[in-house]
Amino acid sequence: MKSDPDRELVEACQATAPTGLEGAFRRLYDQYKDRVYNVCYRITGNGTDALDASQETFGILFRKITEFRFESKFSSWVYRIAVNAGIDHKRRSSARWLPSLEGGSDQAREMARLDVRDERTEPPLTAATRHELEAEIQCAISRLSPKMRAIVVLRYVENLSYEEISEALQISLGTVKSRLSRAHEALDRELTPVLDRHFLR
Amino acid sequence: MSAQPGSPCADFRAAIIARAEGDVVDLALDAHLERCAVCRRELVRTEQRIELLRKIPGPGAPIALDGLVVAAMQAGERQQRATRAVQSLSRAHTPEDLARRLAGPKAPHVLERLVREDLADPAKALASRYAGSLGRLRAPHDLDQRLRELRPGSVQRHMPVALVTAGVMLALGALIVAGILNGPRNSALSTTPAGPILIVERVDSVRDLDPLVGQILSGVMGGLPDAQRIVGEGF
Repeated sequence: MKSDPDRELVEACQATAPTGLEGAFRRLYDQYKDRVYNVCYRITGNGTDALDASQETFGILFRKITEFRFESKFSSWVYRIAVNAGIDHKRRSSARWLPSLEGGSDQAREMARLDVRDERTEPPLTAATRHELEAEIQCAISRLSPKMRAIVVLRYVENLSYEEISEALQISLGTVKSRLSRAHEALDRELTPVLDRHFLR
Repeated sequence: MSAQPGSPCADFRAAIIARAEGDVVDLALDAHLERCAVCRRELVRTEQRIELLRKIPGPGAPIALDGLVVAAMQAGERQQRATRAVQSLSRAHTPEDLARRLAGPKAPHVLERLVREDLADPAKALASRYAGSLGRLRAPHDLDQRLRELRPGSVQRHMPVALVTAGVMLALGALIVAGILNGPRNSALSTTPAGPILIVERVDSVRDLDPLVGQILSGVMGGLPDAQRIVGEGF
């Protein structure tokens, strides 16, 4: 197995069980917090659930880090926990926040637009267009099944290789490829109008 | 080879995705693309789709996450403590052992005696616990001489001398009381000898009094200023 870039920090946490957000655990947290939040955000589709899922992810990491045996890369383990936490939160709150497959996409678009960014650096029209595009893509991702959503997020948002996805989700390479292929089919239906508008301008 | 009109060929779906993601070497796909317009169109659409997906920015973790994670860690610690407690119960060999583990730690034996002393005589209990731990002072060699020099008629004319005399008397009283109380105390609570010891010291000012004696003096007279006034009026 290839050497894990996080091995030193993880072993430091295992040697002295973390007592708070400090030391080696703090460094791991700083290293992963954006990635974990990003995965949770793209899977849940809203900031509130993403925050809860990220909190749960780091809570599990904190409790279980002494049990980690480097049978996979630490980052794969983190992604697996984050994906599962995101899917769980999405499932629990789907009635509250997200549209069913039958409809309600307007609601999802509204929720996606709640993401607040610093728009001082770009013109209002660009920001509005970008927001709209992002909301439509997020909406399309949100309408995928949880398994396909996880693959798409890890592959295209987090830029993980097929092998890394396979390790993180504990599925075979063939399953990764077939799920990704099905995800593209589903996304094609959802994103065709967006593609036409965006690329035929 | 297309499965249905307008759909890309099933055998090349994965290869088209790989090509759109940047995989450049696939001779079979190249050959197929030359003769299949549907798959050529699908390749373009897939490239565009991936471009869009990769375009969405990753939101950075909000600052609020730090606090939530700390809360989750504290909750995790509580959960681990509870788990350990439950595991401890499962290790009980007999019902009595289980009852003992459920009951938690016992109060030390000394607690019962301390509570009994408090209930019987709170002041004495307090004095025996705290006054006995004060350091012992020795009287200066010329104390007797100085005391003899104090004439009875000079008390009201020289107020500081009167005040010092009052302080010394009270200090003597307090030390005697403390010494007597110290006698029967449990040796586990004290490092002082078991028998009563009388040590006399003369002080030149109220401020120099032993802290306990000062407290007693001010307590009796309603504060040190009042003590001074009362002494001035003929204590």
